[in-house]
Amino acid sequence: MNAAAIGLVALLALVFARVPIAVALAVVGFIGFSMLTDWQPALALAAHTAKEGSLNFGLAVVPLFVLMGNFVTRARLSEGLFNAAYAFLGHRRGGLALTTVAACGGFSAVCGSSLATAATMAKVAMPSMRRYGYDDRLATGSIAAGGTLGILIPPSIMLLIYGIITDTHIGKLFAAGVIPGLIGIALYMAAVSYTTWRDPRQGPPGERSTWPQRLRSLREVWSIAFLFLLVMGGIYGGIFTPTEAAGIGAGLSFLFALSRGVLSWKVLYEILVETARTSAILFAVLIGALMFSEFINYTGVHKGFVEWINQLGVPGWIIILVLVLVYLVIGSVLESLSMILLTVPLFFPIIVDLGYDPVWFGIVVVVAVEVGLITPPIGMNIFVLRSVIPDVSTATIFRGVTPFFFADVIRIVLLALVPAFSMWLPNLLFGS
Amino acid sequence: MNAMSTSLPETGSKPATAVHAGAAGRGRRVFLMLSQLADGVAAIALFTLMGMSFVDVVGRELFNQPLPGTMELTEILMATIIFAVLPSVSHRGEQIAVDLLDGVVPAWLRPAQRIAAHLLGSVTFAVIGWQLWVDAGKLARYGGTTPYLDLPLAPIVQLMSVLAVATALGFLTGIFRPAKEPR
Repeated sequence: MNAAAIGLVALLALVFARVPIAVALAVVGFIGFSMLTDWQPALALAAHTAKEGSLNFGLAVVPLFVLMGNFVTRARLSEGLFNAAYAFLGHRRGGLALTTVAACGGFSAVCGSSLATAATMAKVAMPSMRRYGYDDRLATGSIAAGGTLGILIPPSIMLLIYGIITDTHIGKLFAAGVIPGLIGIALYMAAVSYTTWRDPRQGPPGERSTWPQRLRSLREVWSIAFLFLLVMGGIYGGIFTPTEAAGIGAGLSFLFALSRGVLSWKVLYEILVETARTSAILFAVLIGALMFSEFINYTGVHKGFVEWINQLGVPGWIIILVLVLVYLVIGSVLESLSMILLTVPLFFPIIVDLGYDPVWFGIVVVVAVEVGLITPPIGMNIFVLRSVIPDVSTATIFRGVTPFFFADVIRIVLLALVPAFSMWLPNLLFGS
Repeated sequence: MNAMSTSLPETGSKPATAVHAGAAGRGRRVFLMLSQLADGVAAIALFTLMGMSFVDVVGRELFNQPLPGTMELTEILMATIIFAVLPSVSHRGEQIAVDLLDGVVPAWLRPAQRIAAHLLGSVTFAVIGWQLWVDAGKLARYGGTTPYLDLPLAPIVQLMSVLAVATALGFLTGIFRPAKEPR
């Protein structure tokens, strides 16, 4: 118990001193483990985790899904998606913001990253909303919030990482993200409607599209629908494993980008190196987290925690709400991947010991990460938007996401208290 | 388009190159060349991984003819992709770090903070590289091979070891990286 507490304090000290998170995790894990055992086993652990975190078949799913997202992003599928959503929603009050949320949801079905979703949709949605005189707050708020859907609606890099470190079924996790993602879209749309109801000038309606126009606009999205159905359908139908699905998804989106003429040798090389980099950064943190988990598990701190919670005799839902609160606080200051890799080794054993479903907990954690992406002071999606739309201030964006933040809080409480929202679909597809 | 883990860039500490030109500067240039080469290897490995999994699944589902040994090749390619880009990633300070306190840390302390972080990173990867080398030695003695294609495991782990040491060097040379160097 003491060793774990000291380790945690040391970890936080290093992390806030700007030591790369991967290094901080590895150093604390290594020193902690060697104090509890000896130098030799700790040294062996270093080699073991470095191999486990790279020379590993199950991990290939990560770079392949990142690659798929990067190809899809370059293939400019986002415009077709946006136009189709606009044809159906544009004539409503705040129609372009509703369109943005819907298009973000659609893009999330082929891209597993929130930052990429926000950046891509910003390039399409922002010019349109500017043209129609949308308020910057509503415009940027809807993009920043809509972008967070990227890591919930499958494929999702965060769910993959969670699945890898906790050994949870990735197909089930992906299935579990679908309904909470749809709830997210619905609540974000409600947030848009609320904002324009309070102040109609923020989002004037656009013109109404005719049905022939609407049907024509759908032609542009068949490719996204096809990719999503093939990749996810393949996993759920048991035709391929998540890694194979990722390979098919990446291969198809490569062919897709190729057919759209957006790939030169230079662009292809950039996409490949960028993907490799993103993955390596992820895996460095993963290797560090593996070492840190070995240490934490060795201290047995979570057993003490579970005993303590049982002695307290508080009902489970209070524990869950407290955890959610903790996550919301951590999420506001930590970047998403670090947040998952720092907290899950600590909380996951507790959750499982208390008898909760790992799949459901994964969804709650990822939704908490989504909220963290738009909460000050460290809201990564807001920073990404700032880099794409430099002339809008950070303060404006944070004001703009406020209604969406409340929508998120409602969603996370709903999901935390009603596991069926997450578990119904995976149980239906895979059996419980 | 750093897909998800937008790395937080190093803050503008004064370029240390002015002071450390000469040997360190030359060493850094050699390192940059080699790390770019390694990036290229990672790109090829990733493309191969994608092509291989695609062909494997299509072959199996449509022609009942899967590629043999895909699983172990995937593992080898994964290790190559990750370890080959780590040197340049670490050199550029692209590893995820928390810059929450940057506003509070006084300017004179920042270079020291940066150097300390790079040194710690360097030591960490040096230890990992050393232990991977030891591990490779054991694999060589036992004659460890992959189960299907009988590829010897020792050279693969040796390659990882070399690249981990290169990553340690990347952290070191990264100390001398000017703040404004183009990516």
